[in-house]
Amino acid sequence: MEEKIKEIKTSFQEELKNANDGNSLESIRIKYLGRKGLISELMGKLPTLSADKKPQAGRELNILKTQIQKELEKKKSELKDISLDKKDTIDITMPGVLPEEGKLHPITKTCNEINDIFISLGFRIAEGPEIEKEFYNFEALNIPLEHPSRDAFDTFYIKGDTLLRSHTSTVQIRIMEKTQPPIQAIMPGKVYRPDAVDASHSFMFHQVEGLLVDKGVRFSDLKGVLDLFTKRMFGERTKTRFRPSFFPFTEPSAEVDISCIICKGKGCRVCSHTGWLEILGAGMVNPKVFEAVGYSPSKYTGFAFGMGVERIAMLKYGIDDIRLFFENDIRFLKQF
Amino acid sequence: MKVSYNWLKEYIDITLDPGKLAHLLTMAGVNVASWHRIEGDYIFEFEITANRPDCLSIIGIAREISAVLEKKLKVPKEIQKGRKIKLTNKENLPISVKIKDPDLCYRYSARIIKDVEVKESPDWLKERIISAGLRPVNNIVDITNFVLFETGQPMHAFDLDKIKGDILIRRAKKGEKIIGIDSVPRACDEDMLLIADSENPIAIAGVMGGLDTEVGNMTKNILLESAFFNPISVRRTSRTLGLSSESSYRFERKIDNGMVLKASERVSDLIDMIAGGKKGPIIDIGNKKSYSKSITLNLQKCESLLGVSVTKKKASKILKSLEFDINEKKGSIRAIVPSFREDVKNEIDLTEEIARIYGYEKIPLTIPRIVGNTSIKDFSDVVEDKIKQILTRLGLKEIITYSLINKNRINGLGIKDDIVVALKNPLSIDQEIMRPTLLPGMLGVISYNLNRRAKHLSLFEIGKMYTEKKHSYQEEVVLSLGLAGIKRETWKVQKEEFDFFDVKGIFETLLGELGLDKIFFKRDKAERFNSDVSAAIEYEGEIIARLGEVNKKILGSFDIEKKVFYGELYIRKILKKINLNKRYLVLGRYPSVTRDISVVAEKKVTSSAITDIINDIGKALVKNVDLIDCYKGKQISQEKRGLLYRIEYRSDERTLEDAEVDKLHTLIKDALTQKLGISFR
Repeated sequence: MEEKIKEIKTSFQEELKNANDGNSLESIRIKYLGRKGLISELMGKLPTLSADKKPQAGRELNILKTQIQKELEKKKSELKDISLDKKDTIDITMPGVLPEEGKLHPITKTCNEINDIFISLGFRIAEGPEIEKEFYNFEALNIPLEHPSRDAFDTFYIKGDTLLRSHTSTVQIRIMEKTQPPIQAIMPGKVYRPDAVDASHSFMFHQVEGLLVDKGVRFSDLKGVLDLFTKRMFGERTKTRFRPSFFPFTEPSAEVDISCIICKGKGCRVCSHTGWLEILGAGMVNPKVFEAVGYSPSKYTGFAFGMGVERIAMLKYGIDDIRLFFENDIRFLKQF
Repeated sequence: MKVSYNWLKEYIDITLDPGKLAHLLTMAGVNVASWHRIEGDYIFEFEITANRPDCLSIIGIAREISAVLEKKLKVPKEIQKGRKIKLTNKENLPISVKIKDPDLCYRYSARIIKDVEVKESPDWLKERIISAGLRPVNNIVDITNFVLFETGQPMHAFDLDKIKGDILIRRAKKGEKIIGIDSVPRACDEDMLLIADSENPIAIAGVMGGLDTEVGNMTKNILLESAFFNPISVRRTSRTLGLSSESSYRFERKIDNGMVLKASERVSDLIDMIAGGKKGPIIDIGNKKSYSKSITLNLQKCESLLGVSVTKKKASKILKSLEFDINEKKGSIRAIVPSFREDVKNEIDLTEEIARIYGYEKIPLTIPRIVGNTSIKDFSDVVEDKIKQILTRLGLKEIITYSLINKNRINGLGIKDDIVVALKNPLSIDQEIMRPTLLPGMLGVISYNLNRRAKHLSLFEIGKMYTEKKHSYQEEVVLSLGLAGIKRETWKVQKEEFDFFDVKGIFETLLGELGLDKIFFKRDKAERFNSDVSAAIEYEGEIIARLGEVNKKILGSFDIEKKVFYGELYIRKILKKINLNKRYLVLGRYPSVTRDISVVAEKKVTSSAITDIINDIGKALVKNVDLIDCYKGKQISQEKRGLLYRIEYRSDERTLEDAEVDKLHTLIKDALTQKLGISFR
């Protein structure tokens, strides 16, 4: 009897291994577990055994039966998985189905990036009107009437002394009129200038203005903040260069150049072979501006700066035509 | 301004490489835009800022070089500091010179030079004139131009024998004509200043001389003018006439009154030398006082503004090299500003002079203390950011269009003329008004992209619309939304076009996210929309948005053949109602039961009328009503349509029994039949 059981075990294992579909599994099941199967056959022979061997053999037979049942089930589910794979094969090389992707305009993205850097440096965001009075665009910023310093600020007029702001510096005045120092704010927005449209000029563009007014603000602080900004914006290897310049509303004034991000300062077409790119105008707030808003110039000092968002976006993304921003070709918008 | 390197060398000893010199000057605020080599020389192209007219001369540039390189400046004897010119008594001048309008002409000097021989200039002089970008004319004209470039003082030589009678400096009469040396006749107005003889105008003051009194080959005697004209007047005249000259450019920026006579003297000596003319009498009338100011510079203040300490010795040296007279005191410097530096008016100006010559690059980088703003953005900015975030998540692309548009672009939109903000000086008719709606910008972009074969367009813009109300200007931020073309088309799904319900769905999602839940869509009549497909969104009784299908006529004016669905949300109207705070709602613990209800209703019965009844009868137990299907067709009569709703019943307190749901479902059906005459399929 013991030997028989062993034989069945081995032959079952052998046959199970070779079974590879439902039919062969079924015939194995019938062969071993069927009514006239090998297990039943041995069960039938139990009464012929001696009383001391009967219980032992009965137990072993039952164990064998359960084991065979389990293994058959296991094999069956394995075969099922395989057959499923075979039946529903898909062509994974067919194109994926994409959801339509939303995109922010590259100017918004650039502006957000600029804002975020200054926010991390403690600045807040402020805004002002685009339709302005001459006073805010010029006089309060120490740009006198009919002075050649106005040449740089050709302006669209609406009626009388109402105009479209030609720079965001107007918002400096508006903030200072409303609040007392300390002030630490940036002012993004649209500005307008009567420039004929070409690859590098637009009658409408975006600027970000910055202002910090407090006790003891120094020119070196201006340098530090803008150097940090350009490094975060264009990469930590970016170098800055401050050149003396003239803006009526700041003194001392500076133009800020960064080392060309294309050629890394070696000289290329983008930087007109100078190795430098002009990206910011800046300076210490002119005491006359403080006087115009009623601040005491002996008590407070401050710095201001301004930059063109399109210019920065063009450098950052390698865009060579400013008109692309306002044509809104979706093949362009998709890229950012 | 073009400056020859060789010419500069006349006034200062330099051997520096031109590239290096250009860099040093640029870093001192005297910007060299470019430089190039010509035969035997280099030409620098300077960009002089509006505050520095003193640098519009070779000597001015040489002075800057002397400060930067700490080298001595050498100038011709006539224009040296403290040089006095001997004047003639008025009686000795053969003609009289009078200033009638001293508000426009501050000072006028005239000198007679006799027996000149007008001829071609010597080569060295011609070279100088050419290097500055002018054409040599004759020795007299070339000498006045030479000294103009050398000193920055514009001058003019008249043919004395062609002047009829006396000279009067006066405003023009309205329409008074003068022919300039460029042979162009020009009509003047009463704001312009003329130099006139007893009969005719002979020059437009500070801008251009007249043809009649021009110095030519036959000229024997000349009258040399060196004057100081009102900068604003010259600027206005130059702008009105559209005529700019080397003279007007300098007068506009204000000349150095201290140079008027010196430059005249320098011209006279050169004429003597080159053209053999004999210096005659000179008269000088008007204001002879030149700019002068004494300013005290506190070195401590200077340091705390710049963030770097410049020694008193260094500061004095810098100012001296710029020709300031210096008197050192304890902790401060007293500086007397030279006449040619009227831009230096106070202490901060002195600080800037020191900083730029000392070198911005030597000022360290420091970080200021943080002010500590308690809020970073206005709520309106936060909302704008949020809307952009939601819409891009929904697959829309942001556009930015011009705020200035062509007036024709708002035709047919039902916008009244008197609220439109128009520009006084537009560059072109395409930018003549400020947009009173964002629709034209959106349609322009849709048209542009459809022309380039774009298939799917789902776009938005957040920007201002501008209107005028009783002389006050309004700038209102609005959201515009435009959908056109194919919504989706893949190998998996059938092609589907955008329609009204896509814009509506975007608005529902957006407003829901902004915390506005009780919004109502009402049928609306707006001129811009197809009257059948036009709606307004109401919130608390106010219209906050309009949406619909843009009408054919408007689309036609943009050459758009496809349907366009558009919406505008007036953000300002909901700003106070927006709630961006999210609150967690307890999830239902008991299972829900769904029942479908298939109604057949008259077409005029609206879907919201049906769902209102379902919600009303179902009360708290109806958690959701979805429209699953809508059909019109053979099986139902033409005046009716079939709608299939799926209702989700759920209680927050217990598991609902089937019988209870059945009962409620029947109640709903009965109500629908009773109130809306609905039957069921």
